[in-house]
Amino acid sequence: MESIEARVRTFVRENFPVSSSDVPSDQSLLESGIIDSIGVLTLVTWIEQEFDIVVADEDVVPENLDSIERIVRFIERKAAGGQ
Amino acid sequence: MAADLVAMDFGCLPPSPLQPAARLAASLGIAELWIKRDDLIGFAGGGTKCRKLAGLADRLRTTGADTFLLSGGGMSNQVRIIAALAAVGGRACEVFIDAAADAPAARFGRFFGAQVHALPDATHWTLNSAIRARLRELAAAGKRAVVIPAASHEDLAAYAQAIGELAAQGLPASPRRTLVVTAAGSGATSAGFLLGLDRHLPQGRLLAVSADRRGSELRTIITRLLASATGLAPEGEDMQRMLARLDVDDRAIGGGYGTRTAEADAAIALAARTEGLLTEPVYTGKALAALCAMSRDGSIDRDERIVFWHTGGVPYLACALAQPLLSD
Repeated sequence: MESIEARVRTFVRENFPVSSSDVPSDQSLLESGIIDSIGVLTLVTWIEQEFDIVVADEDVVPENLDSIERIVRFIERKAAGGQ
Repeated sequence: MAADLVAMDFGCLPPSPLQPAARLAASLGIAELWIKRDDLIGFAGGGTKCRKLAGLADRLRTTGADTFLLSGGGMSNQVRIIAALAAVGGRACEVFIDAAADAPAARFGRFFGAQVHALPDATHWTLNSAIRARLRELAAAGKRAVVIPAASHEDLAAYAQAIGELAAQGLPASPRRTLVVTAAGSGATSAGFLLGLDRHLPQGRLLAVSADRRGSELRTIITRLLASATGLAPEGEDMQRMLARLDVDDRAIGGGYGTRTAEADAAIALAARTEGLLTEPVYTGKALAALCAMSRDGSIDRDERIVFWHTGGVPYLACALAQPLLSD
């Protein structure tokens, strides 16, 4: 089974292709233009379906979703049943 | 009775006129300047966004959606024409605007019967949450809502075809290279134009003048849209060939999206007084302001053949003229 980070990176690369090389883990996805506001909808929907977790509206904040590493940590926390 | 989306008539269709602008060119010291008049096509005030309407209407029809959701800025052309599309096509429309309720796009949205959610302090994140929440409410109410993105692959194809249209309009033979100058917001028009240059006008180049984003961010967005639409690797040879034709300039942004600048207001007045051309302060006015500045400081080749792409938005000029021009 691929790691969560590998799955996230594959999703970002396939849906928001900006570079053949991977984006840095801590790079802001919105400020750098990799993801736009509707792209966040796509990302959230994918997270819910791919990892079978519920993303609440209050979860949709940059602290949880604005970089590869933040997305990975968020998914790990949610999958473990955390808030 | 509401028309079916598939049978809609979008008024004046492309090709848009290609107008010589010798007086404006002379005042800028440019050898050859043409205006591509997309402000004269389409409906609901026209503009380049209207080029995608027929395809978008067809795709929306096949979704079976009864409600369209979209987001946009306070002077969004997309908001205005899609609110009109929904009205004429008998669909509900809800618009999420990151501006005040009296912003021009909000007013036009309501004018066309859309429900406007004005969120002046919204970020990408809070706007997104608002749309998600509304989607759930609409689903619970038995509505079939669809979110319309700022750009799709099909939109880019329509904009690419616009360059094919330009190439077929019979510009006189000239040794000059062609530089297409356009305002850039979502980046979709610019990405489509690059695709079109590659297919139809390979000696041409594109200057995308940002209306709101830093140049590096706009370039990233254009790259992403182009890679998504073509399936090409961003760093592959074909993509790099297309991107090599792109210059991005963010000098005209001023205080950000929608803010007036004296330079844009002066450029708007210059275009009006030399060519009778109406532009507006958010997109076309800033693109003209950049063109003026670059012709003065020599950062563009004044011997190039320049095609200024009028992307529309003229209805918003009336809103802007409610206040004095900053350049007066």
